[in-house]
Amino acid sequence: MSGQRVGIAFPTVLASTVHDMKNSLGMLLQALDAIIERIPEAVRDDLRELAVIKYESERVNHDLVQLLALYKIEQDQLPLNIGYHDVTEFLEEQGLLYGELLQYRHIELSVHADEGLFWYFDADLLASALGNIITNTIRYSKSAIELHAFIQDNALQLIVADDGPGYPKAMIEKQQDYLLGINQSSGSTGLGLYFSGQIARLHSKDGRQGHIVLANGQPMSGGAFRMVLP
Amino acid sequence: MYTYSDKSFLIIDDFGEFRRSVKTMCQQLGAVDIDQAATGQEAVNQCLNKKYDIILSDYNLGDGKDGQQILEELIHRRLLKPSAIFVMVTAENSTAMVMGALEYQPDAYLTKPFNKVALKTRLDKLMEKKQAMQAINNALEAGKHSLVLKLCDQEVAANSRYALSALRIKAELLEERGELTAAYTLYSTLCKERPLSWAIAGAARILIKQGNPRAARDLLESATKELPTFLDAQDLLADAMLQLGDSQNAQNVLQEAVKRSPKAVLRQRKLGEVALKNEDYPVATRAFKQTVSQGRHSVFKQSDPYLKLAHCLTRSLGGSPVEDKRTSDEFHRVLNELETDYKGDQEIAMRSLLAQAELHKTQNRPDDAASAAKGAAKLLAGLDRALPPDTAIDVAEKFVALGDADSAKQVLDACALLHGDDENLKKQRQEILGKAVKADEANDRAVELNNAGAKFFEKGDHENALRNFRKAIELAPQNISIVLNMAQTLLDIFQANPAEKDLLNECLRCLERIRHISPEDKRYARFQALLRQTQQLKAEHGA
Repeated sequence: MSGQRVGIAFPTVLASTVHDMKNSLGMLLQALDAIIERIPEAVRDDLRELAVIKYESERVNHDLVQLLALYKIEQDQLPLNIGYHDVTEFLEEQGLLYGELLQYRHIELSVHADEGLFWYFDADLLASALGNIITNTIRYSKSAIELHAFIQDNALQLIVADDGPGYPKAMIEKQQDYLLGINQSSGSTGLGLYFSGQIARLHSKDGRQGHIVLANGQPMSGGAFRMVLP
Repeated sequence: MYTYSDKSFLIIDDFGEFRRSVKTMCQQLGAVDIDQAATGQEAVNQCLNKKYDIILSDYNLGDGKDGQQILEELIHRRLLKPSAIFVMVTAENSTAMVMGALEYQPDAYLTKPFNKVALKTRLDKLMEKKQAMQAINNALEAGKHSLVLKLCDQEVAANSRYALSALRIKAELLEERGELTAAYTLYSTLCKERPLSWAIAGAARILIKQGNPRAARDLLESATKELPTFLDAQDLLADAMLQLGDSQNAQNVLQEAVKRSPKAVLRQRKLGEVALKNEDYPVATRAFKQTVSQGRHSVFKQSDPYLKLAHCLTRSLGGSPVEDKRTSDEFHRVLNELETDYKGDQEIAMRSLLAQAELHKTQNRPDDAASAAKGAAKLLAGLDRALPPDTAIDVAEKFVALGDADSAKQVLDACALLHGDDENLKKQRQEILGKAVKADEANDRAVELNNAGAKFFEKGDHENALRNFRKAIELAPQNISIVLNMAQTLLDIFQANPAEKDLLNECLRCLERIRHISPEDKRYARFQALLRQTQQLKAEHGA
């Protein structure tokens, strides 16, 4: 940044503003939930606006998390807190978090992973990376989303797949550009991918770094986002 | 999956609306017993009166204590039961390592905004873990070490999901017991597998304890490259560098860490100490100022940084008259705050007088300096306990500088009874008192016997360990290291032979001798744990 004349450090401003916004967002969502509680169940399904409010606030929240995390990666300030986690449980939790959203959109989410599959990763960071991907997938999916996990090439493979139209051809062909964050396309898709790519990269073992891959058509008919963690 | 109707909750947040909304969520989970607190102090007071099952605390609480400081205080003052769950609510993701040291981590972080589903899944998971680990935690609490180790091994053998947690408990227990080789093997095996911060820190801690700072430095330098936010590693790196005699680099490392995470009382204090050693007064002054201001609400608040800050201010005199006026005003403000906070504490009053004498001397008022020094010597005569080594050295140096060598000798001799094995103290005594110190053969022999005993203990040969410790204690009855080793050995032997109740009485007698151990001593927590375990075992076995 050049020509700084402000007396207060930008990171402080950023962090406290995000903090404040997330507080407000939390209150908004709480209030919304309280209102929904009062609406008879039979009527709820018809209120498409509820789905919109839910969905968009979820996105704003992801954007904020992403903004802060990317800033911190830039500054080498993003803590990595590796733990040993039950992968199935972790994926089911992610599914639960978006339960209401999925319900409004009439999308089935299912988890496909072996019982007792454990792996080393930072659960918080992965949750925010996948959260980004899942919210996006919800937008494009027709009726179903599948989360897959398995071990291949000595790495954990996580896949978020849907039955939507799949990733645009240009995106699949030029995925490296998206991952490098140099694609100036509109919308947050590029940035979301860049973000999850960065999170994957933070996970390394014996010199191998994590990465992400975009594909179409497998394991479902639509897009398939894959994260590989060695 | 779990019922929360029989669990007590405490919700801590400075924002009333948020407390209410979290309360509603908890009620939806079935909770009935829900208390709230708006400030850290209020929360700590509530925990004094009630042992909560589940605590949800926001990290940011405006002025006063923050969530991390609440957690530190609850752990430090033993206000959390082993089964309690502490969840830190934050506005950003996984700020774990930037917030608190490894030993003061909450059970989980929860990021705002969250809904009841997120809260429930998080709590269910934590409940499940606490239940699975309950036997281990209870055995740990009761000091039944061999049982803890056995249960941890079972957890690992069963390939349970908590195997890693069990290994961590095992390694930390071995380390606490002084079985360093076994602990090191565990830590280093684990950190070769994955960059687990606690395992890296553990391995480095032991290398430092075993006097191998070079290996510790290499391990930590590569770890900080891989995990730049792993600040405990920076702290340990500074320790390793200090041991290598490289205090300039130790200071650089700490300055870097403080930049990343300015809110850490202990780190600021360490930086102050190192900068003081390097005679870098501007850095030391800044660090001690931070220590004092952040320490106000922290359980780690101590008197020493106030006095060190006063010393630094005295050392920075000699600029323009205006600056000097400002500096000496601040000097008096600092000491006033200290004396108000520690009213009636003889030791503090003495050290404050010494600081004032130093100021008088620096500003060419020899008569005022002499009378302050005299006052300090009088207070010293009335002290009922020895000072810890670092303090003793500092106080002795000041007495010598003010021309009172007798008081200096008194301070160091009293300290040497408890800390005869402290190499630094030995060296400084020689330096400060010169020929006044007779070679203390009895003490040296006691330290040798203690080291031999520790080796036997590590091999699991408790009988020979005890024989050595008993001989050592006769020669140095108040030496803290020897007393603690002996107590641990006695407790181990008793737990294998519960019929020998005399062992417990011997243990209690021996701990009694060091009841004046300073709360600032690194081994204070271990002393308390051993004392508690001995009393507990006595009660259980009617000894």
